[in-house]
Amino acid sequence: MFGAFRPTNALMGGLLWKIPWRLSRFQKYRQRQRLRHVDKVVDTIERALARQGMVSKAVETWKAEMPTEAEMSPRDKYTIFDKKHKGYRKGIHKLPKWTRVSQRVNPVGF
Amino acid sequence: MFFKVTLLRSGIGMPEKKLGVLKALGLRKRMRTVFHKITPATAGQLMKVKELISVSTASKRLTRRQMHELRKPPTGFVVEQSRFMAPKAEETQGVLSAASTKLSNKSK
Repeated sequence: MFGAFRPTNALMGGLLWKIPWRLSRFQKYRQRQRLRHVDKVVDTIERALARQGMVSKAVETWKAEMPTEAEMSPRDKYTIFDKKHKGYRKGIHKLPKWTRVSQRVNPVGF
Repeated sequence: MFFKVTLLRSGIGMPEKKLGVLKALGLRKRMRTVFHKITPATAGQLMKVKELISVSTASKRLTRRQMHELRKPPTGFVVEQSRFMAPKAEETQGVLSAASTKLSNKSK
C-alpha cells in the first residue's frame, strides 16, 4: 500500500481538482485587504484633487458606481457571477488575475 | 503638491492599455516610485492602474538618489577632520598671511 507506487487520486488517472471551489479564510482576509487598499488609493487621489479644487471624471464615476469594501456583501467579495455555473456563482479566485483586477458589482438582476 | 506613486504589483499579464499607462507614468519595475503633478489627467491615469499602485501626496519632488539617502541608516559617527575636507576659513587665512610675509621678505 505504501510502496513506490502509491495509489493516489492523481496516479490512478482520476480527475483531480487542485483549485478548491471556495477561498480559505486567509485568502478571504487578503482579498479584503486588497479591496481596502484600492479604496484607500481612490480616496487619496480624490482628497488630493479636492484640496486643489479639482475633480476627476474617473474618480467620480468610480465613487458613484462602486461600493467600498465595508459596503460590499460577503457574497460579492468572495464570489462572482457566472452564467455557466450552478447557482450562477463561482469563487472569485477562478477569475484570471483576480488579485490584480477589480470585480465588485454584479450584472443587472443578479 | 505631487502624487507620490509606487508600483507595488507587477503589470505582467495585464492588458496592453494598462501596461501603456504604467509606461507613461514611468513605472517600469515593482517598487519604483515616481512623482506626478496633481491634475485630473494624472488622476485618471492612476485610476487605470489603481490595483497595482500605492499613492500618497508629497510637497516636493525627490530624485531617486534623494529617496535613497532618506532610506540610509545613520552612520553612527561624525567626521571631524579629513584630508578630503575643505580647510577651515581661519586656517586658510593664517596660511595666506604667512605666504604674503614670505613674499614680502623675498622682495626685500
